[in-house]
Amino acid sequence: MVQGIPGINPLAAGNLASGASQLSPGLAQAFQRYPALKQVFQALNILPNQVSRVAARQGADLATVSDGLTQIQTVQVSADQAHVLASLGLAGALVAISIQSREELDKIRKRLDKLKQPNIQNPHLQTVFGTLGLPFDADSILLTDESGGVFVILAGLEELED
Amino acid sequence: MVKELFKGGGKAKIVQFSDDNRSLPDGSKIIYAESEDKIVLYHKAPFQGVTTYVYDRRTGGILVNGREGNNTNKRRMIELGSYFLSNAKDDELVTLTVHTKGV
Repeated sequence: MVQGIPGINPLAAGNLASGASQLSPGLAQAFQRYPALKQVFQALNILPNQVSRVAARQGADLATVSDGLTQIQTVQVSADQAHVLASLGLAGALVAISIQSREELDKIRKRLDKLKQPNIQNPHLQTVFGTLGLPFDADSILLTDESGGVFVILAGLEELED
Repeated sequence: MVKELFKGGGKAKIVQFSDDNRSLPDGSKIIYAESEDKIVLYHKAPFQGVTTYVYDRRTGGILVNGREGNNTNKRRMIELGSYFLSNAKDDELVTLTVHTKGV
């Protein structure tokens, strides 16, 4: 059973951080109330404005990291994208991290270091978009990303070999 | 199978290294992409121009830099895709799903 923590959803109206180092009021309040949350964010090198929702088991004691914190969902979104996602009912569903141990924290931190937000100005990507006949501007598209991709390529190569 | 991939509303999938600056051992850069009707392989070798291979999933035809290709080009496309796969671990890749706003 997972519950949202009141006042910690930066996608809620007036609660979205606007700058990379700016802490939304909701998160600032939650950090004060639950110091363990701040430790988790620091351990994972997650910028507060990347976090769209934090959830915990119902009735959990958030005074410690190991007890109760079941899920942190992070997403890198602009203010406009956040509103579009929220209106679609998709807020914060792009990346979900489940934390159960210190080892997992370390693993996730390494993983997050490797994962970089795709650069939409990348000329290679622009060529690919053009070839696919897709628009290449932030006003027309939404990009979601997930790690991995070997299966996608393998399936494509199998189709080519048929 | 193809329809399954795009059932979620995505217009296209693009697979590349999660690190934009990463290249393959020979210095080249490869990006794999697919939509409901195309498979695209983008190849940029060092000090050379870009070659874009487009496979039409409906007709089976191949375009290379916009010009009609042949089976040799198709084999080259498969070779490049295999080279990409053999030099990339799953956790080094990222799959971008492109959604069109308002659709």
